[in-house]
Amino acid sequence: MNLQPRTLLPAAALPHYRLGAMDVLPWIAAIVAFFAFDTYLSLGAQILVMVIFGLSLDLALGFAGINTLGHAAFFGVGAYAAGYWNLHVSPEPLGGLLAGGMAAGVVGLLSGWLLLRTHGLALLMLTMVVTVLLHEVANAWGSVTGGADGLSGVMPDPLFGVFQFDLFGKTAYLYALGVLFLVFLVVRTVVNSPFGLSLRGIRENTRRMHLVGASVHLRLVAAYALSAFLAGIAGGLGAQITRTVSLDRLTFQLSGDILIMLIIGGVGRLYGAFIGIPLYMLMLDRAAEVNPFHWMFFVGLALILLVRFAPGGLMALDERRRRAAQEGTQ
Amino acid sequence: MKFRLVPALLAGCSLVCGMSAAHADEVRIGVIASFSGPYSTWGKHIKEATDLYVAQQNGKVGQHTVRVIYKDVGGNNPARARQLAEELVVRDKVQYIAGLEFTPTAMAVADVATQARVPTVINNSGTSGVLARSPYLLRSGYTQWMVATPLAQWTAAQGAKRVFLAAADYAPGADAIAAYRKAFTAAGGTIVGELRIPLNTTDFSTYMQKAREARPDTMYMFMPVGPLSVAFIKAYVERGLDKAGIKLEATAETEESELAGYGDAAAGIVTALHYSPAGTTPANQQFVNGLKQKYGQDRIPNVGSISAYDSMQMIFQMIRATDGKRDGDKAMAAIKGYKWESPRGPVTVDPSTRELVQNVYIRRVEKVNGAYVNQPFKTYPAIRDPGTKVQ
Amino acid sequence: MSSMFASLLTVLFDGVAFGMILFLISVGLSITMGVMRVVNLAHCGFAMTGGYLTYALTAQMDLPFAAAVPLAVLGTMAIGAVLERTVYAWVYGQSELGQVLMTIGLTFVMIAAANALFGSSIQNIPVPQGLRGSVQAGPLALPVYRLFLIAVAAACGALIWFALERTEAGARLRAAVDNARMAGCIGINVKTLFALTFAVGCGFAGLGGALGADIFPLEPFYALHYLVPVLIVVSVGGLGSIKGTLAASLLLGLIDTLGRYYLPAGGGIVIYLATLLMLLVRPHGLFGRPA
Repeated sequence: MNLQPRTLLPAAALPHYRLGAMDVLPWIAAIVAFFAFDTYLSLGAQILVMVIFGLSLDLALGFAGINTLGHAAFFGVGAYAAGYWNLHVSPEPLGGLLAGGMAAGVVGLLSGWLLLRTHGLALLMLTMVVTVLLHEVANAWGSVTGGADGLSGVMPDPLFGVFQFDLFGKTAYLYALGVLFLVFLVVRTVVNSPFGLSLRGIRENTRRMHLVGASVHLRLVAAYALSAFLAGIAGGLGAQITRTVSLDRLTFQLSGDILIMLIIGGVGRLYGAFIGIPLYMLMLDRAAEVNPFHWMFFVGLALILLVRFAPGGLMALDERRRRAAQEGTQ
Repeated sequence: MKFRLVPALLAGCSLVCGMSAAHADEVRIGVIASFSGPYSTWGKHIKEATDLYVAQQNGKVGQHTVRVIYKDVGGNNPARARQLAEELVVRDKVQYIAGLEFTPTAMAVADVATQARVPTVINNSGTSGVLARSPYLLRSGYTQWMVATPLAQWTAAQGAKRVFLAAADYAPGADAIAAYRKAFTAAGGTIVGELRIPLNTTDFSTYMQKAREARPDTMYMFMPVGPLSVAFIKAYVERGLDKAGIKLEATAETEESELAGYGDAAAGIVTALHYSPAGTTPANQQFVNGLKQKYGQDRIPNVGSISAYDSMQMIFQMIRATDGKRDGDKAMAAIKGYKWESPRGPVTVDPSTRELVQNVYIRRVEKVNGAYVNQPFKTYPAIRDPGTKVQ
Repeated sequence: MSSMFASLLTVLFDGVAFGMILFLISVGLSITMGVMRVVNLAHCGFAMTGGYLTYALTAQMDLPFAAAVPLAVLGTMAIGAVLERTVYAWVYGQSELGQVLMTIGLTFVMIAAANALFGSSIQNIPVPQGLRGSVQAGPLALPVYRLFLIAVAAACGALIWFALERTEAGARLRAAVDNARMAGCIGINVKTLFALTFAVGCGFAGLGGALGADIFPLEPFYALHYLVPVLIVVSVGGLGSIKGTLAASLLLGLIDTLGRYYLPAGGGIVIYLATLLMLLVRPHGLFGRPA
């Protein structure tokens, strides 16, 4: 019998350092897709950008337990920073990416230091307000952000001086894949490190962590800032690949969307982002072809049913199946 | 017997098919518009007008069949617009692109058009200077300069001296204000105040208050078509500005898909636009009746419809000029200077700016046959966009 | 000089009117979240439901405004009650995140339904002749409809306060909120009480949506567009506190209106900065109590 309570977050578990199938499969799938679906690479690149964004959210939400409705703030800040960098400082793409990450990281550090003193509903609201506030600032600060019209004409130089960003999206896809790989390595290492373990401790039982003597606030702020940095990298990457930045990268709706996508895959399980995000975006792309408005109905319905029957997302279903198989053999 | 017959038939078939393939191939056109989300009425109007035009041409240009592929951009999503444009070019192999209702989405598609050499006709997006982004861009809509200038001139000619400007805070709004200001002050009037209103505004009462305090005789508004226009006009009436003697002027805000919803609030508003479905030319009658026949008696074309219809006219001309072959440069060369009689009036593609040179009509919202329409009463012929010169 | 004073008064009146409409829409959420501790992001969807039902009854079935609005409110309450017993009951035990997700899902379903039934353009609710125009109060021209809204919102506020503080049902509800188990022990049917309260909260939202359709235009994305201001009002005011919701609505309405008047360019930012500061200083809201 399955005694595991039905929650979104997984049960506390020890870190695992060994490489499993899930560590290798996504990359194989991505390379196969590169060759098999060569006219879908621009969609593919955008999916990869969202997966990075989702990973960064998973770090904050799934591992550190920070309930946030405001991650789009960092994505947007990263996008605008990278776009601005490209237009006014240097069109070299890697520098722009770093600029995006750093800008978002700073915003994450400051807002985290302020906001993470609260928790629960107040924290949720505050993260939402920060996002909406930054949206308004971007809207008003037209000279830097282009206001309601956004930044256009972001033209990154060829990658490493050699690989031109082409119409088929080949360079963009491989660029995004490379960045995703690096980000994944970072997140996986952090999550399995003592720091990562302490984050999980904070998520499970904050009071106990205080008692143990761990500086909770500092750890949370560090995790939040790192998560923001990674989200900023995702945003910057998106700006370079799509060559535009607009206000829709900094909305509360985007925060909600990435949350939904991550939850479908499974939050706090590291690989949830790899499952949920491509699935959602592919379905969205297909649904938009068939019947653009009605997909919202099905997504809504799917969410309601998911929360009731499979709150851990698709990864939890797999976990349960494995556990049932294990118990069956005992 | 059978054995010999089949290969012969096959050979014969392939010969015939091969011959016809050389002449009758398919030319594909991609249309990127909003079919979902808060701006889905744009997509509906664009699709209906496009389908009408193609049907009226029997889906052919000479020997070539034309196929239109629609993609949903879902509103003002430049990243998605770019992705769709890339897909249309790479996967669907379109020769022409149309659609695009917002400036950011048009800008996002510009360098795809350049890289792929695909002539792209922008249906809406009223900011000047957009066409400079790529040598393959055309516009079947209008710019703010084109419509605000004659309106300001007309207003000055009516004896108005003090005008208050209220526009949404984004690029077309800035253009609208700049254009009106320039023309009105040149005609001897004074601008007594200006407001840039954020796009997320829901309550306009404070802005109406400010407008009222400046005591203008006329207020010129520019809001994106949709909820903002509706709220603005309602606030204008609710605050009693009409009773205080402040006339209201606009451009596209009273367009037909929202006009019925205003009820009596919109009566008497004077607007300037390049098109009104209430116009009585034969070309317009054909267009309006065509739409009614195909989609029902309650269909009224709006700015989106006429843009889409004329964009098809331009694309079909380009197909004719290149004989259905993919040659972006030849198509662009052929379309510059092209003249035709559109439902909106006589139109020319200006060779130096690639914008349309068209009539602008001053209209008033009046009740005709029990329903409110934008009734044109004065024409300013052959208006050019005084904006950027491009190659 | 006096015209500047008159302007200020008009702007203040506008701020109050805006605040009162916000109060009407938000008070239901404060009750729901305060009482049942469910993060209900679908609340604006219920406001939208009330608005669309009123539209359907007036514009499509030609009922008079005075009859349509109460019917729409009852309809919204019924829908709320049914949803509470089904989908909301599923997430009572769950974390905030689960509730956020379920209610977002519900909101999506409502948006899609509104679009399917009513189309994506803005729908206009015809206001009866008697409530149009404006009234001269000295140098001020006050729109009649806004006065009506202020009156209705104030009456609702008073009604809710009276029901909670002075009636037996209200006392039972307060008891159930304080200690549900004990309340159950002394014979209060907590489940039914909560269900009724939820329905009433949805009813007020529906009323706000129906009456406020002038300021908050009705279109399918209504449910998401106005979520942010409503959530701000409820969290700043404090969950479960009617006083808090009223204070927060008025405060935010005034700040927003005055901000837009004096700083038209940066007007929108003021309200969010103010919220940020208020929530940082008092995370439970002005009048909220820690759980």
